[in-house]
Amino acid sequence: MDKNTNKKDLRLLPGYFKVIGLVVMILAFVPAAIIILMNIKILQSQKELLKVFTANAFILGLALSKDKVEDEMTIAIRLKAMAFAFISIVIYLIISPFGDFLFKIPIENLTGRHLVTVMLFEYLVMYYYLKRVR
Amino acid sequence: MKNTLKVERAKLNLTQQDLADKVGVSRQTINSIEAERYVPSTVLSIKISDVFKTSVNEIFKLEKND
Repeated sequence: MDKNTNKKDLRLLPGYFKVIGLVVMILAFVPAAIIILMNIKILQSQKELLKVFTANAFILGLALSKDKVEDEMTIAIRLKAMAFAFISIVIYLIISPFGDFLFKIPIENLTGRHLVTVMLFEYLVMYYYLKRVR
Repeated sequence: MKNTLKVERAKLNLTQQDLADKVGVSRQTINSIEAERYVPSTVLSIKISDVFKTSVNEIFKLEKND
């Protein structure tokens, strides 16, 4: 029986997207390293674009592509990890203003991209942790 | 939820991997079901009972707190 028959719940990318993400990240690291080492001045928008490719491409590929064996248990684990990532970010957003109020810690303005990167990273950590202890 | 998966598997001399291949899941999923860490879906329960040619209720039994 095909191990991938019962995956109607989540439509994930094919497994090779992990490799594509890794390749994109490596390809983005090369110009990023050259720019930093040679101290080349680039536009802010170009900087942002490089950040997206270096930080998010691999994580996104890893997070949204299928594993070798996808079954109902891996889907359940993925959903748990997604819920954890979402709830932890919501809690962070609720609690963070109190940091400044109570402890005089300056609040850094996080952009949407930062939050998504942290969420994806948390999702991945939780997913592989839950897979390991299942 | 309790289950007699290990016993049923032993009767047919099947490994966890054999059973996993027959029902289309990973070996770790079968291991988690046997260790009662994971409760399978209705579809998977029926597939498992089909392999052992018995009813779902014979393999999976509710506990008092379920």
